[in-house]
Amino acid sequence: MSNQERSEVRAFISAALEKRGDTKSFSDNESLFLSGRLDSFNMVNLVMFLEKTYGINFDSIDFEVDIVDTIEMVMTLIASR
Amino acid sequence: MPATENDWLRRTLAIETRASWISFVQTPFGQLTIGALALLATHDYFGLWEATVAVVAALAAGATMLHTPKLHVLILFTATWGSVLAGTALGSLDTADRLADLLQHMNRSANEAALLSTIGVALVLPLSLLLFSMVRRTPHSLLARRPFLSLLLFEIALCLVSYILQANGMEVAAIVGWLTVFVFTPYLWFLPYAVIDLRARGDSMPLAQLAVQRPFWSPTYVPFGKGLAFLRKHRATDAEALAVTQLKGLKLLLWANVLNALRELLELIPVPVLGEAIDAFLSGHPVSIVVGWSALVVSTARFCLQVAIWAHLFIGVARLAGYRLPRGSWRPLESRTLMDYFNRFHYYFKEILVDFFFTPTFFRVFKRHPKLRMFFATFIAAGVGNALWHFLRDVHLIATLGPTQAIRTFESYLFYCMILATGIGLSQLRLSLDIRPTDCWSGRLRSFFVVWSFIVILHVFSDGSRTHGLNDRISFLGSLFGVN
Repeated sequence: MSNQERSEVRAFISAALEKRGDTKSFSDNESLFLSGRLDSFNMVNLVMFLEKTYGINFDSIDFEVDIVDTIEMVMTLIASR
Repeated sequence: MPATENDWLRRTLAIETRASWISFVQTPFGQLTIGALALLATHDYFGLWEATVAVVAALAAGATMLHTPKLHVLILFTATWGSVLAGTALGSLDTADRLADLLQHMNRSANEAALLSTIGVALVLPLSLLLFSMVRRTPHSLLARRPFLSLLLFEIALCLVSYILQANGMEVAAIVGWLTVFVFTPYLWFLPYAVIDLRARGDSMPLAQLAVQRPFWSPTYVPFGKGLAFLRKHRATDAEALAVTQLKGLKLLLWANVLNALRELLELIPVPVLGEAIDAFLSGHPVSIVVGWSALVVSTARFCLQVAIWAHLFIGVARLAGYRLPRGSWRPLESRTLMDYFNRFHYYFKEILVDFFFTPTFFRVFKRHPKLRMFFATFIAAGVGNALWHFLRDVHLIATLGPTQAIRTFESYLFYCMILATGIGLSQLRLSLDIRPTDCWSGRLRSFFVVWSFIVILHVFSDGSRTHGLNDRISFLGSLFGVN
């Protein structure tokens, strides 16, 4: 997986956090949704971003918020597409 | 309140951040004190024996959570099934009442209703184990892949068979069928979480899954704490976290009592309840417009407080058991949009709508049309899911009123769901277009006014009574705007 993809995902998440007034830094292993920093609306937007940008097909995935809860998990998902 | 004063109050109340309190809670005397205060805070709502069982079980579960997990599960299991069986036998849960209504409707003695209902609830245990076993043996079956849909189809089929038996005069068989429906209905909202978790984690203990089916802290139709997977993620991981969680739980229980005092103060306001105001309007002697609006606002406030009080009591007890669960209702007055309100007002109810309706719809329908996809999935959750949950909660009315009348008396709530869902869907769409309320004080005031005007007006249609039809409520609402 490329650093560019990681940067794009980080930029997307950063923008979502900023819109919620959350400017604290976050690591690649930090929980984003289960911790409550982002909500279900942000999750839906992230899913649409991943579908559109990386062609991930969620039809074949049992979706649970766990699979996109950290940057690292999102990167694993992108790598497995 | 000025910000500094507000901060001072917050700091004073933040006992869970003080080392002395955290240490105290970990002592036997600290646990006794928490238990006594929790019992005082809950017995008026749960009843004395139910509150005692809940508080003692929660503290015992908390005490065993970190070092003896098997004993922890055993305590949860015993408390959950002990309280649901005793509650059914003694009539504090609704299954026996529903069966009694049906038996009386059939002109039969209702003396055995509690016993039959308790036997029915007890049978949920082996049947759930059978279900878990089926899921493990056939992980690719419809039941394992789409548990909610499968169980919903099962519920609908049960209702149909029971109704056909009843309509054809086969009363004993119909009674057995309806009893199965009454017993099964609450578990429809719990079992799918267990199935999903069992499929994801083969090592999940069936006993642990059973222990949180209508857990002892909230024997209702809404899974406060969702399923075992969610609870697992939110369990305290060390002694200090456990003490902090228990202090937060106690605070929530005490806060529920403050809200209840507020609710009782509202009772002192000399305005009729909403149903009485509608009755007065329908009888041709309407209350004045000011009194009508006051009745509507006070009724909405009481309803919102009631939801928050019960949510805080349930989550408070769950926190005593060591689960760091998010609150069930979190500052709904600060909602900036309808979507925000939906998220804050009744979190765990929203979660079942998201998990069982929004997510499956969102991942399957209108994938090439992002805005329509978002709106439609939101509408299915907040509208269809919401209506279905409330209709099934009162499923016994199909047996006693008949299907036509059960649906007819539900039309007002159905209307409420459709309008609410449209509002939330549009709110979601506006957010996706980046149209957000401004953060200044006037923006916050406008958000408050817009969100709560919508909720108050819509409350005309969601008010619990099934005695007023949709047209009556529309006419009453019109009268509040001076339209006759």
